[in-house]
Amino acid sequence: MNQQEKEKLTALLQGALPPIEGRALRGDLWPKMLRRLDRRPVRFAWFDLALAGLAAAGFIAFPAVIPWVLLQC
Amino acid sequence: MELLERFTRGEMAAFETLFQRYQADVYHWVVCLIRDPAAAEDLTLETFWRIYRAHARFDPARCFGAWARRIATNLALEHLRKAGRVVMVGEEVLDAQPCPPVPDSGVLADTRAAIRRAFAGLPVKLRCVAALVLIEQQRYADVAEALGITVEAVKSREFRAVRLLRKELKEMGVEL
Repeated sequence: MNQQEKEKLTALLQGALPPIEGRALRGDLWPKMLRRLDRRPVRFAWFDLALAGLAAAGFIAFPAVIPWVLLQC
Repeated sequence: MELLERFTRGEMAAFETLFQRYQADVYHWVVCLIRDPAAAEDLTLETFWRIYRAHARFDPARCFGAWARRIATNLALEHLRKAGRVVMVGEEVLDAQPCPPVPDSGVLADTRAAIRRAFAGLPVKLRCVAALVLIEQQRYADVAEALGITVEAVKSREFRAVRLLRKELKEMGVEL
């Protein structure tokens, strides 16, 4: 395909699918971004979850240690 | 301290400044790719959300705009693949927004429809290059950077897109 054919195809494409040039953003997206940042889910690292699980299992298996742990706090 | 360094340290004010500075550019880039203003807004927000999460990994010596465009391009490609087809912006969608008048190309309505079908039928990678290079007249270097490929690869994709479009249009009875 030569340059002339490419230019013709470009013109046809632009005729069917007008360039977006000049279509600006309708407003500031920062408020939406802030809302999105605010509602981000609380994430726990797998290590934290494993540690909490171990502690819970320990308390269930040995409930007698609970008062001792509370006394240490 | 430089703005980008403050951003990499997770300073929200720095992120906001960068957001305000680049949101229009990212939006424009995405809307050029997917041709759907509403979805482009969502993808712009998603782009900055990913940028925010990745702040610690950003190298302040790099160009923030190019990085943002790269992330936005990947998201746009993902969006197009999920959609399975280009969201053909209807003139009714685009007409709802202010824009410079498009010169009358003298192309008949059925020819325009055939061109749109042929364009929508292009593989996503070729369609993106065709949209950016042929329709939007973006520079090869900018497209290459955003897609993470070389300028030669962009030109190759453009060539393949043009060849496929010509073939499709010929089959639809549209001669160049």
